[in-house]
Amino acid sequence: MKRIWLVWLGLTCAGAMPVAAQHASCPAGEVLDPSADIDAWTLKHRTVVQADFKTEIVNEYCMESSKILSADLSRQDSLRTSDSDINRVRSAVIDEYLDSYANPDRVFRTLGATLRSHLGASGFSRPVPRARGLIHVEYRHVVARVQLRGKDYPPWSRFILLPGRTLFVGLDGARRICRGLIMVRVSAPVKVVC
Amino acid sequence: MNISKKNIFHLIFLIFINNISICKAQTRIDYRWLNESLGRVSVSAGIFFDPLLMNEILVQSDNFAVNYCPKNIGLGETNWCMIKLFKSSGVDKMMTDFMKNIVQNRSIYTNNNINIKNSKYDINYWPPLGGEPSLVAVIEVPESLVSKQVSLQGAAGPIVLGKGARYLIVRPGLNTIIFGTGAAAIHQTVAVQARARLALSGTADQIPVRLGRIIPLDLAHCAQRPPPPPVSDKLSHPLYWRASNLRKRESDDVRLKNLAPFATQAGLEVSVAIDGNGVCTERCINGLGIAFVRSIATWRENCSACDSNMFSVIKIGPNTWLDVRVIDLIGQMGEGKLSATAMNLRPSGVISYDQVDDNAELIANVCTTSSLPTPWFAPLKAALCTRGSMGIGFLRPELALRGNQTACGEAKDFIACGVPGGKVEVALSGSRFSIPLADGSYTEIGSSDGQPIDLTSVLFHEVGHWLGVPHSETAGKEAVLDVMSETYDPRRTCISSASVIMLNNATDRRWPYSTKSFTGLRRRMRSR
Repeated sequence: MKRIWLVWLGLTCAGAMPVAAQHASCPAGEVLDPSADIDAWTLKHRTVVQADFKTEIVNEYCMESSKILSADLSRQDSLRTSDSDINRVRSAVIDEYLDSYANPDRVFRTLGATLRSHLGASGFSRPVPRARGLIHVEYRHVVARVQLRGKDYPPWSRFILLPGRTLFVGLDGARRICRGLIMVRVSAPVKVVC
Repeated sequence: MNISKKNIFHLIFLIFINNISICKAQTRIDYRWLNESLGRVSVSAGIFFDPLLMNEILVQSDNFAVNYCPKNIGLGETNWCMIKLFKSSGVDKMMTDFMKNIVQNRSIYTNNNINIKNSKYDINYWPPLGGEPSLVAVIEVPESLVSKQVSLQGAAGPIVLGKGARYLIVRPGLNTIIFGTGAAAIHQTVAVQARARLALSGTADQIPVRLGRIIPLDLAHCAQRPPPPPVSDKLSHPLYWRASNLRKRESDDVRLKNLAPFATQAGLEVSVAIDGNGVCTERCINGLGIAFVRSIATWRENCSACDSNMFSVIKIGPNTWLDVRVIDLIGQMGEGKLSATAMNLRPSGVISYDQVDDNAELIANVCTTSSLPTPWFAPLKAALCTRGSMGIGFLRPELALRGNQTACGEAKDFIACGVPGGKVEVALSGSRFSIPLADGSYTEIGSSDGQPIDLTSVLFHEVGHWLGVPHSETAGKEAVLDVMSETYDPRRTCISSASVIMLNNATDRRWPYSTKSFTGLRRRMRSR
């Protein structure tokens, strides 16, 4: 893991904390969207999941649920499941999906494969590459919030981010505690010390 | 001599660099100490190693030392712990015990107190967890050949080990051992499995090996131990289920009554269904058979609870493979050397198969014999003489090559899908699969730009399910992930000890974790 030390700065900055998403329904049918489960996972594991990733997960989950419910039931081997089955496994599916996303040592499978496996499909899942990288942050000073690409996040220990150069800023109130340009890679997590 | 300031700087720099490398070397053991010890011990104990294996042992020793001794050695400090541990008489005792444990089929853990310069080193495990060289096999040398020079056939010629060998510790798979030199040398080519022990006859090839013979997968075992039993509720754990305890108290009748039907099934017939013309040609279908048979051979050799005759006849599509021991028995019967009453197979360390579709002599022998009191004869006769379906067997799996859609979902999510009735669907869309051929080469089916997926590994996984082995995640969060994990991983195409335990548990129909009849798709969600 590459370790990056961020530069301490006594400057000021302002911003707002993200608001937790409301629990909603997927467009198709009675399947509940997994926003609340994603929020619960991020809080439990102190891991920041950016809004666009969260939207992706919700959309994929709803789309896969819709596909499962509209499967051709005339096939003897089709997945006979209901929206209540899907709602029951939702939390476990999101937990497993995000756990494996945040663990680079584990092979990673699609959300569709994770959902179907939890519903009982006895398939051999395809490994897929991750689209986002992971950074671990160690705080040596009191940091009240973190700013990334102009948005504020809680000062949590892990961030799942899109690859590329990212400006990481640690703030305590209006005071900048640390600031540095980090390179997020999908291949290996980066350790940041603030 | 004219020494410039620049040269002096270079000299100081070189000294500095050399010092660093010396200090680094002191934090690791010197392989020469172990090499010398292995040399001494091999001769005195009469146990010789394949040199490639020796390298693995040296690496394991290094891991052991790094874990055993203090890790944080300061720059310029000598790691006395390692020197005491490995550069003394203690190392010979340790290596002797280590090798004796292997040849005596005991756990390779040792529990020794080694006195080294008045310090006691309690070696309670060796080598460290996660790195055990259990991927070794033991060959017993017959008394008549002990005095001869023994060599192993290597890629670049014979590797001379020395004289006086009573045991050889070799890598699993095919090994050619040469006793003596020149024209009088005796060559023995044998197939031997990991952790197995094989006694050589010393007069002829132990197991005749020819091109195309299917032997169990090389390096099929993951070198990890199963997770420890839970403190409470041990009996409900998939690995520590009560089957083994029950068996100790149960009569053979009760045990046999509860034996899963597959465990006594002598003939296995696998049908092949392909979506689309030209997707898998005759050569490709033969390759599918090879991948299947290799997977079956590997699982079968690990199933100590299974009947010895299990899957001795395998028909895949139009092709038939036969357990080599059955071929030998039929040959002896044809020569009048064997009575028909001694036809049941005995347990064997290595399970290997030959394709017999072109073996006219064997086919004639089988087809002219009316019946034999052995479970493998009826399926064999059906496969070879009527060339039709065996028409028997609890387990009659089907392999279907699909495009994008399987019953589990789309090809983007699943490589393969097990469906009720023992059918396996492989999704070809978006993937290339490499398939082994009889001549040792590979062919490919499917299309994608990525790395090809090893079809043998996929079938290895699915055959595991047919035999009732669930996904390795069933063994809990701490489970070792292997070929039975839910997601294909090219780094984990081996069987762990946990899956071997689950295989043997699955032979008892009361084991609740078995993937029985592929009811998975219709099963309601798992309770959590």
